[in-house]
Amino acid sequence: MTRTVLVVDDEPDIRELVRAALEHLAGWRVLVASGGQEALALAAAEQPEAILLDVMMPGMDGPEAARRLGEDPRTRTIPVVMLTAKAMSVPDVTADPGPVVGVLAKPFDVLTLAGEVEQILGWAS
Amino acid sequence: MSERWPLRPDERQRLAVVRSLGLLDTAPEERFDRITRMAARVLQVPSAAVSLIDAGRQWHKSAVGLDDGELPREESICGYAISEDMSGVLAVEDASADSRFRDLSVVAGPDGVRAYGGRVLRVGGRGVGTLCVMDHRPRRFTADELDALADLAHWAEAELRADEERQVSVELESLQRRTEMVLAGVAEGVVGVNRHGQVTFVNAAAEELLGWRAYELIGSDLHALTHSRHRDGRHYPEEECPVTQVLSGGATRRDLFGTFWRLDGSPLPVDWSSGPVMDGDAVVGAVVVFGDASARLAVERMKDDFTSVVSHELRTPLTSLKAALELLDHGAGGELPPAGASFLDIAVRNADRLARLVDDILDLEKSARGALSLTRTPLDAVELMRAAAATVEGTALARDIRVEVEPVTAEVWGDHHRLLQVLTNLLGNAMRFSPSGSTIRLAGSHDETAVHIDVVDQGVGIPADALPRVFDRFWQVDSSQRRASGGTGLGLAIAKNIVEAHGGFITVASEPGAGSTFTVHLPVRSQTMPVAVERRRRAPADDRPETTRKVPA
Repeated sequence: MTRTVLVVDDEPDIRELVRAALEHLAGWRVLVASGGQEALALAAAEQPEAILLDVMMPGMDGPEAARRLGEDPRTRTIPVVMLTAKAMSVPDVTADPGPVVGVLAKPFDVLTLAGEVEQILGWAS
Repeated sequence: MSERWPLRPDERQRLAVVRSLGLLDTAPEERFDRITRMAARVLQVPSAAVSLIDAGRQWHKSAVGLDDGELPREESICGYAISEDMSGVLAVEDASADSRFRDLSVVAGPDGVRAYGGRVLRVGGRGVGTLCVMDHRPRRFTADELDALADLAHWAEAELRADEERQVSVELESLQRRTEMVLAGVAEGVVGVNRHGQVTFVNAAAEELLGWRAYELIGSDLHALTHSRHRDGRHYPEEECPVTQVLSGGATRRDLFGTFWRLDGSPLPVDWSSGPVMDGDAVVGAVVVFGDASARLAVERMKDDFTSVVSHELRTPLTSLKAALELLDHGAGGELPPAGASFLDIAVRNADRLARLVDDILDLEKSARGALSLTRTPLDAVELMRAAAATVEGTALARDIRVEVEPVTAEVWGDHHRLLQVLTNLLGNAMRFSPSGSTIRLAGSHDETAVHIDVVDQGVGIPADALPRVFDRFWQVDSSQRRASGGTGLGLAIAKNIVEAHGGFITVASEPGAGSTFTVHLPVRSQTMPVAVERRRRAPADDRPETTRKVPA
């Protein structure tokens, strides 16, 4: 069955690249959202198998969106992978990880992105 | 000169003291006249004098009952007392009957001197003159009279010394005023401290820069008052302060971007130096000279900002560009026509090249500024060499170049990622100038102070006159080679900076046509490399003649 993932990033180029990498190279179905609010609605409605969530976004940022996803009974079982710029400090997900299962540092290599996501989520490719 | 009265060995020093009094040929003064008047009255004689014995004369500062202001030294009984350096009173009952004095002109004639009493006046241990009394009649002075003369002589000496002391203090004062005037005109802050680090001197610029008044600073501990915290607020222990190190025998040192704290609690960025004040071999204090470095610091900050802008604003779109090209290349945009694929190939290669350049420029800027943060651990030299060789394996295979790593047992104390970058850059450089079928050798050696890693190639080599320039940024023997060879032209400059950040240095030896040897010298753990090691020429890899040059820091 085709996997469905939700990519949340405020930068359209990044969204498009991640979408292209996961769709064309891994064959997944990719939903995109440009912010936290949109992501919450889309996740509840579409029930993706995983969410790739950018940390730094205007309005509702990544950690806040993750917290809300974890609180909503409709989305709280969906694993979240945070996307963070290399230069920034990695968010501490050990204290209360909620739905966050891992962190991917930007810039990532589009050719290996799908593999890395699979590894974090424990999906057999 | 005085042939009658032989000169003593210390005559020169004695004369220096006489002249330093500043009294010769000055007008009479009441403070001395009072003494001579009293001497004449107490000893009941017609004549008395306070005299200085100059090079060839006796000169009267004060006299009663005498016509001439001076007389030749060899005609003077006082001259005799000085030449004998007499400590007690010289009493002569009748000079005309005394074989020492009877031929003197002052003694000759019926009105000549008969009775004489004199005592040498001393300043700083030297006999500078006399207090004397004279009579035209022979007589014997009583013990009381001679005691009185001695007492009056003490008084005269006190007056002479008072004069000298006044003189010295005036000179000191004018010297100090001159020094202060000079230092007041200096734009840099100048603060003097004694050997305990307490402030003894503050110039106007220092007051201005620090906000403290000189009288508030003088006597205080300079470090405690203005220097006890780093810029970030961390405690700055006194024993780490350059001034403390200078006071405990350190050499003059210059420090950039230090922080002094002003009276109002604000930090003052300073470029400053501290130097010892020596008295003979002993350090008796230190002089601290400092200038406001705010403007320079602002420029440094702008550079930092620029760097982070370049780092982020240039890298981010570049990353997306590369990602997009890679996706195209992997068919994410569908099958490309042959011409499109070849254009794409050009785009990918140049995006890669641009990304390398941006990374290298950032690394170079960081390393040149000394802003590399090194995480040092003990590293196995061979492992490091093998890891570097592995990174170029692909290119080496494609170009048919062998990369050999010679085993060595040595431990390097350094940052793994950065040292790997150094060796990779050196290997990449060697690779670019090596013909196919040749070998690049990585060899290590060590002694008690340093580990040396050679990267030896059999490439085109570097002409001797070009050796000093190989570590310049964007420089290549033939600048047209750069584009052809695919390097950024920054690798060697970065390598040099990284190695220097580790406290080491890189040398290069080469013979055009036969190859080059780059050698990384790294100090072993917690040891700065002694100059002797730096100067030592390393043995050439083989017997061919080599030119070796230390690359200037």
